[in-house]
Amino acid sequence: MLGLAPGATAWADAESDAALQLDQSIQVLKDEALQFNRDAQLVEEEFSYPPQTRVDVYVSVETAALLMRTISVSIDGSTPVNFDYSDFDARALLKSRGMQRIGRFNVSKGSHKLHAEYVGQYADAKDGEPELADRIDTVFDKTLLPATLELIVGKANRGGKPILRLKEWRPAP
Amino acid sequence: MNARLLSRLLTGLVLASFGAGAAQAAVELYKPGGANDPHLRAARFLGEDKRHFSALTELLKLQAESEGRPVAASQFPWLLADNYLSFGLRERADTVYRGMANAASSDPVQYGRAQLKLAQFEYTRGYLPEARATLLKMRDGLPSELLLEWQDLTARVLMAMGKDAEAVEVLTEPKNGSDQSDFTRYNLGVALLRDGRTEQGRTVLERVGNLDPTDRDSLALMDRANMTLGWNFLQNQQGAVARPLLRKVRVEGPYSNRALLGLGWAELTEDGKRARRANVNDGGDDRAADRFGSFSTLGVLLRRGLIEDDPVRQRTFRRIEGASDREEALKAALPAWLILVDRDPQDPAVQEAWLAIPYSLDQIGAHDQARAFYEQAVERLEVARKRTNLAIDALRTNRMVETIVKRDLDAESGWNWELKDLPDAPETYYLQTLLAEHRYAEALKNYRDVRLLARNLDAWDKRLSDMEKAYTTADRASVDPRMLFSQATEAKPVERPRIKIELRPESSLSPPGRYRKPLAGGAAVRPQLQLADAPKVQNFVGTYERIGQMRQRLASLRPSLARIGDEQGRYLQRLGTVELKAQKDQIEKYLVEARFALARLYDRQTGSNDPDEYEIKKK
Repeated sequence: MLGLAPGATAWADAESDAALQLDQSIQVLKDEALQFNRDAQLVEEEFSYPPQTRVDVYVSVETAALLMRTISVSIDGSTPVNFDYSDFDARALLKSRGMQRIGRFNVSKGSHKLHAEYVGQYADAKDGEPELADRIDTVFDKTLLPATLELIVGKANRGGKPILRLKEWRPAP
Repeated sequence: MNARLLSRLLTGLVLASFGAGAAQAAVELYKPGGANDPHLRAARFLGEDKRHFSALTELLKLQAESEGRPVAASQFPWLLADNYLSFGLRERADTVYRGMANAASSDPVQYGRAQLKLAQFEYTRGYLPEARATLLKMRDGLPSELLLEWQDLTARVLMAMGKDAEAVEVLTEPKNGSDQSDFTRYNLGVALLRDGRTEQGRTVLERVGNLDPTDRDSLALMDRANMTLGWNFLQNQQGAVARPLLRKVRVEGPYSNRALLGLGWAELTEDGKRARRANVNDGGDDRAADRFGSFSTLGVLLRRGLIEDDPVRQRTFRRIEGASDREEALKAALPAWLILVDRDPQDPAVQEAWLAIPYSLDQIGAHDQARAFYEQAVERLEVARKRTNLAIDALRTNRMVETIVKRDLDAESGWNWELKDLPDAPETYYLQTLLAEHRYAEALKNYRDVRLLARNLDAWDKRLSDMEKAYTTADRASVDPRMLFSQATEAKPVERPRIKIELRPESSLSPPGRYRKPLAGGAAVRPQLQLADAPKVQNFVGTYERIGQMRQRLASLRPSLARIGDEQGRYLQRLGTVELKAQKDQIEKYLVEARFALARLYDRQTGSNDPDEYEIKKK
């Protein structure tokens, strides 16, 4: 609400111009940093997770109003990769109907075991209501192409509790 | 074979190979760059999670992998532009939006919303002419469901540019006043007042001030409307109309200090003319019972106005001689000011009350009490001045900004970042007003973003070093060429199943060009040959070479980012210092007044001047 005294107006105008010029310079550098990150990530993926061994594991939620609390994933008994959700993260996952990458692994060609567990709760759950949880032990077949696995938290049938299931995505030829 | 059929077949094959009942991932196909592409779905989550930088990186990787072809998913450009804007990249966002303007697939409402968001960004960042242009450009063909939002934002932009008459026009044409939000109506009231259409402005503000509040926001809006209206009447010497309006402002609320200060002055100002109302005739429901009373004229003494810049302070109080009930008015003013005494010592309204109280006490003959309050005011103002000096020093070391940004250093929310609370540092206490302003908040966001990117690049320095080191020192096994061949052919459809192609090392074949035996069947017909240019020497660019390229880019980007970060930090310092110096000047003016008044009181005790004499001399 504080206005500017007349003497300060010229200063304010000059400062506004300087602020806009700075903003534009920052935009250019942000853009460069973004392009750098894109290219650097592609190189790193190629180096650390070559396509013939790469497995990306994602999680998504299909059940309405289900907020994730934790998820844990391991392949062939490796050290599990865990993610603890803030309320904001959980709502973002639900609302976006997108998927979140939980982990990236290197495995050889062939069949592999995947273990995953989740804990969640409905957004409108009352105090003391038990949390929802499920675990899955499954197998997937790794080819020489990158593997993309999606852990889906969703109901198997109407009225049932949300369970975990695994879907593998492959690019159409 | 279409993708769905292939997908079903794949699922069936995989299940068959593991036997019935085995838990096995179902396989589904996605079209690269389509709606189910994992990059796109991951970007959707990241954008919603306000991790705009990561979302953009994901989208740009998707674009890079599509090798120059446009990404198929219709939501791709929307996601890209939205995240660009949210991360403060206005130019990039605008370019993508312009590309969508004529796209047949564009939904006009979705496009309109995107344009409004762009204009909102331009408005808050200070690109006012650009914001106005964006909004005016979308006026033709504006979907009706976006009209109210468009009117509200356009009016705010125009008011920020000082084009109050244009703002009024936007808000009153079409005549949809009854559909507009109370916040928009408040803005209309202010625009009308600033445009000189006082009676219409007051009528609109009066209605906002008499809302049925539903939440904290509407309560605050009511307070603001009553405070604005009350001070408007006060500045026009209509104290009797101002008083009930200022009394309506809650005692505990964001506008209470100013309202209480005004209420005290309203007790001392003449009652003035009866308020008149004039409807704007824009379809708004501004009719209300006449709450502006009629009053007789009182002659009261007013202390001269102090500061000229604040709307609340732009006063033309004048001294009116011969007020019969002047003492009563002074007594009536005191309770409101006394509530203010122990409130936020940095609030100019509180500081003014520190002086207004002893002034009134002195006028009604309570000289000892007046002296005590003046002495207290001097003491408190000295403390405030000292703290302001300390805050100015702290600003110079950039401590405040660092304290603010280090709280959630890794948040990628960019333009959507919000300062939720203030760190407990003296300088932030003094800068609350500035922190609430767009120009400071937006500069702070940019500063945060630059810091975030600098940290990101620092991390890349180590990641690139690790990769370089792995190439030179680690016993990283080279990839078997046969495996690469299998990988390259694995996803390709088999066109000639009878021909089995495999890669094997062959050492018995002659190198090309060594076979010199004449061809059977006579002389060969030599085709006309033309020498081609020798192919340009192309250096092999593998992963290692690309790491080297990234290293070079990193080396050039990091110092540029550090420089711009320093520059942005200095800009924030300048803004803060100017604000604090203005506060210090204000405190020093009050100190001079308090000391001068004390001197007068002491002089009077020793039989010197009387106050009226002083007033005349001061004029």
